[in-house]
Amino acid sequence: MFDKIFSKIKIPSFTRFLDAAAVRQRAIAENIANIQTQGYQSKDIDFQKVLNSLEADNPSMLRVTDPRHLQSQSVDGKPDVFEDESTMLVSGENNVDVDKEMVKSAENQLYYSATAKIVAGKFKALHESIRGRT
Amino acid sequence: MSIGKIFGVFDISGSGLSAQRKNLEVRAENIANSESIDKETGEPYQSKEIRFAALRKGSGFKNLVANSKLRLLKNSQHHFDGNDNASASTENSVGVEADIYENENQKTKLIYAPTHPNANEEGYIEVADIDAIGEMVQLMSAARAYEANATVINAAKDMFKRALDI
Repeated sequence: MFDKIFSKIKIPSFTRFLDAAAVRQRAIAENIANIQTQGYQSKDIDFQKVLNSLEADNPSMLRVTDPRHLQSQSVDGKPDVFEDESTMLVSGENNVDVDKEMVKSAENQLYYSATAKIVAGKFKALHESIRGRT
Repeated sequence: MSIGKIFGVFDISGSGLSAQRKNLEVRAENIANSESIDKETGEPYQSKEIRFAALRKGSGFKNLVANSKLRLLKNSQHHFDGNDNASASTENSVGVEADIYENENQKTKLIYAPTHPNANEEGYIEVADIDAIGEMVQLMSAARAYEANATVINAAKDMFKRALDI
């Protein structure tokens, strides 16, 4: 029952988003740590893919109420870490661009904080409704 | 997401911090010893260089825990898997590794110091020709890279503090 409630208020989606942001922060940390490593290739995750997967959970999508209905494409929301293959020597040693990485880190931090706040709000609302208003 | 993976960020950036600190030490040593010679042999100082390499294999505390973890017996299909199978290629990598080596191609220069105990017949001593400007540039980039790593740690710290507010 709680599973249903949770998925109705999209807790799993937000959890996936938080996970993705955490993995992304790892990738950023690695890029920064290896800023002077020769031949290192910068890493990132496909954030757009994660966002798309959240959209797939949108209730405005067509509902499947009959086995003959076409399934909406299921999007796997797992963040894929990929390496940037470009050979541009941005930092002189490799293709890590420190400015870009710092911006990504700040952006990621905000995304994470905002999402965490939303999840906290959802739980608070749920808590309120369980307890009932007096 | 397991708790170990969350703290991976700190491992990675921590290795970055320690690598950059090492870099700083190398610079300090080179600058401090720019006119040093070996007391006994009169050989000039061997300048040092640092080499960074991305760490691929898991090591350190996390790996120690992972290796010593008691494997839970799985004798029913309802049991959970012990390992989490989130796909992330950053999983095995724990940042950066720095090792210091002696610069074999260090050029030397002669300094006229006739009263020096190690001076040769003409009154010269041979010291390492340290590129002071190059060292200063390296020093600054090490300091900046250190700062960048610290910033990432702060960002991650803030993120997970927010997660605890949920």
